Amino acid sequence: MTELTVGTKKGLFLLEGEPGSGFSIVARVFPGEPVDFALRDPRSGRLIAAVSSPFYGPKLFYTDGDPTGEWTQAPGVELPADADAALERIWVITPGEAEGLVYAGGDPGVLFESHDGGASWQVNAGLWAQPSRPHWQPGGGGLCLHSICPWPGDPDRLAVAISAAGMWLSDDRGRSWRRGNTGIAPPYLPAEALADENAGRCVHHVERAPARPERLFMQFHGAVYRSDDAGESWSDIGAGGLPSNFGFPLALDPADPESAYLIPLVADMDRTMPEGRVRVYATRDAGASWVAHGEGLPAEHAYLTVLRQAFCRAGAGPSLQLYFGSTTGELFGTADAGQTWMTAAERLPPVYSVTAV
Amino acid sequence: MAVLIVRGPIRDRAGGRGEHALAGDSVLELLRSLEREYPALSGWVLDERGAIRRHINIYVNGERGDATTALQVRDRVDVVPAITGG
Repeated sequence: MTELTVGTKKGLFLLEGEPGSGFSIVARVFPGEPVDFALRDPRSGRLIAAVSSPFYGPKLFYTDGDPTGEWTQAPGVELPADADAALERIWVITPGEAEGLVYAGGDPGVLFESHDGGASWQVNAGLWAQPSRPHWQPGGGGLCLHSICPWPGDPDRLAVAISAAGMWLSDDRGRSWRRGNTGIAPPYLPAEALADENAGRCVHHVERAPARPERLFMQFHGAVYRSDDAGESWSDIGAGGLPSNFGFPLALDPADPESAYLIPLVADMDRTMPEGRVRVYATRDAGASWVAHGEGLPAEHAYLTVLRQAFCRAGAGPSLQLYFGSTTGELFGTADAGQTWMTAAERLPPVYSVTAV
Repeated sequence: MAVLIVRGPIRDRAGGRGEHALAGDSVLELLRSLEREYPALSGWVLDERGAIRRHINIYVNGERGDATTALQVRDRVDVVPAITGG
């Protein structure tokens, strides 16, 4: 059985089902509240949810028991005293590579870390204290730290992505950071501006290949990149058959570092599926070529949008499961690495995030 | 003392009571008094800088106020989430 944890504009939904067949909604919690991200940590079984009330601000809650029961608010989810703004939003929660270590990323470009499985949090001081921080430029969604890429088996090595402050790399468990933007050429910047490392690098989503950790894939604002040197430098891989280089979601197969999955949108000014057809594009050769998969997905007048955290995977290899949700409340899944797709849920509120265990 | 009126999740975190008689010469002092009494409220009305959150409205005796509004004994202070939508 697979459990899907779906954050939406109007609450958190938990679904259960057998991969490739139907899913049922088994719980709805935080009714009416925006749930920006939620996951069940597979190590502890703990559910952690980022809830961003428009009135009362962003909070992290967790539960170890019945998800329809009481959740506990985790302390420490706030900016340091020297901040000139309040925490705006939590964008992502990611288990780390040490016992009890969990990361969360938020706006304005802040990394939180927990050493007790998400029960309490602290700001990562090294990234917060970056001297260039006053010059960082936000993207359309804010100055959001949305991608956190631990290195399997090595808690010292970490990469994070911030829109639009680009890639940041650490080799000492987050104490010090350096940029990793070599090769990224934003199509919206004049060539002369590329020398300014504070000019906006609007990264949309980054994932690390678990079977080859020095490899990362990136969906950028109008480009698709791959790094084979742990994020130090990037090569454009968007030329081989994608209908568009614009999009947000990205998922990888943990068994195959040559594979990656994207859900392209038309362009920044038209954030819907190309040709009104819902398709997931896969590469099996590290981005040299891309193939569309759409069997079982809406193929006509389907102008969906899939947000950056609304695409996830479970399992690996030929039975890789992928799930994605749309801002129009549909949830789709595959249990054969994208060959065939099924509808897992319909008429949900706008989907912000999907995770699976 | 002034009377602070809270609703919804703020009331839930303030001991389940909607009315609180508190000492304070300004709205901000009153809100800080309530936070000291109920630490679970920390971060809900006042953000980490101590500012009233953007979409929380304050009314003092029925008129719009803010953090700096001075208070007299028996003033009534309402904490109201902004009404949004059409």
